[in-house]
Amino acid sequence: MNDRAHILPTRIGLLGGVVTEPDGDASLSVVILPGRGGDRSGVNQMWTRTARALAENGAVVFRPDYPGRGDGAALPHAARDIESAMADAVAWFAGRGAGRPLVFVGECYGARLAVELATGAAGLAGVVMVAPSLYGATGGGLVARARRRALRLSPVGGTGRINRPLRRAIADVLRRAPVVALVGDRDAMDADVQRLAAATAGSGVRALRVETVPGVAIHGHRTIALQEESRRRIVALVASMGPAGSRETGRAGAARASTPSSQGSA
Amino acid sequence: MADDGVRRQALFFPSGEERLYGSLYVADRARTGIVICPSWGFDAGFTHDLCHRLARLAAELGGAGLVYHPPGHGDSTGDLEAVGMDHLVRAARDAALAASGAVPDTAWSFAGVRLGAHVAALADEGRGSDRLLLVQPSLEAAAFTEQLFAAARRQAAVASRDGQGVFGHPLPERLRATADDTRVRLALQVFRGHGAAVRFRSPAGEPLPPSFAETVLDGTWRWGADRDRQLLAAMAPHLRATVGAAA
Repeated sequence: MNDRAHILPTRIGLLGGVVTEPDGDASLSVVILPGRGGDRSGVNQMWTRTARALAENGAVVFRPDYPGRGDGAALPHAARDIESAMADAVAWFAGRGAGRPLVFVGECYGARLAVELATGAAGLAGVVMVAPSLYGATGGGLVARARRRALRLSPVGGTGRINRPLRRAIADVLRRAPVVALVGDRDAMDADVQRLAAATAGSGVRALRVETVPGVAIHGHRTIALQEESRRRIVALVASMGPAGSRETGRAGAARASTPSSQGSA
Repeated sequence: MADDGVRRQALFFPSGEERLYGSLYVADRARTGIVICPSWGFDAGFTHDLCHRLARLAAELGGAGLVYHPPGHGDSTGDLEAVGMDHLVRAARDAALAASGAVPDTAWSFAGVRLGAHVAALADEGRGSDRLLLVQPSLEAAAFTEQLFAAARRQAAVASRDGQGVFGHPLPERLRATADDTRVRLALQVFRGHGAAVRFRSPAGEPLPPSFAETVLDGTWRWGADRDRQLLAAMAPHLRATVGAAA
């Protein structure tokens, strides 16, 4: 396993990224998009470790920084800047992929971006959405903040309306590849993820599959045990989407795979 | 690869058993550069972008800047729980070596952000550098680590539910065991170059030797882009003097 550092061009300027390569031939390409508030390595190297674990399974893994963060700290970072720059970064990585199947893994805002980028990606093998942001409320404005606050305070979660373009993008991706959402049942978006999965179940194509970790909120990976739990599950989910994994993942309707967490309590 | 006249390069370099990530910002004809020593753990995460902005500003002013990820941080290898002050100081010195290799004929000195100021002071020991820049310095590692232990105790039911860490990071047991605040005070006392520090009035900072030029900003320091901008603006004249020193 080997990490390689890159400074790569995008239409808004230079971004940094790390590509983690397996020791042998790669069988799968993976793009990891963290939450927008974090950097590409994640809390306590959560995403760095995940990339290395995936590489040990034969994947070549790309983790770009967002504009405005890390190596791209000086770049503009309005939503449109981020989307265009990350599209360029992913195109740069996909161009090096030698036709390998491509999986996206994204957390929170990164999950939403992953689905949007996946709609146009060649060789798409799947998307893993970790505690996904499903709402049109990722900005810093008053409405966005109020909506996020309402979500946090809601006893059942799911008070936000699911972003319509995202809903369409998920449906588009499901026609081509499996999409799995990894959430904790204490995550604010859990109820809406379940609703979305139920809605896609009747669509006649693949359904969104939901893997729920009981007793925790995954979003933000705020404990070391949760980071380990999440990493283990993500590696298994990505493996299921690769050449050696089952291509049938998620074909059989809305599945709620609720498995015990190794983290005893939240 | 260049961006607005600033050459950019990302690299990995060795430090003991570890491979550390570094990010270079270099102006044409740079003759002087600064290695930015980051803080520790989640504090390093929250001040990481400030480190990059400092390095970029050094290049925009005609010099060079290197930001690196210490062992157990960011894209570097290593186990954060096992990282002590000795590893952090060695990483800073190895970063300076890597910078010298990547940008030959350039004199490098250290800057440090938060606990990175402590690291920078120790990394500079015995080098005879001309400059040492301290940004919102946490020179007392004992106080820095005790704040983390206190936060872990306070927030055990909220942020560190597993009781093993603080804000998703392991507790800095080895850092606490290996830090030597007396040695840092001595290193600053004997520093014979141009030392400068920028910090907010609150929380009250540890006293610096009179030879250090200290800029104190009104208000209270906290993480965030607003405070970063103020620190960056206040540090700009010192950076200009640093990168222009050998020009």
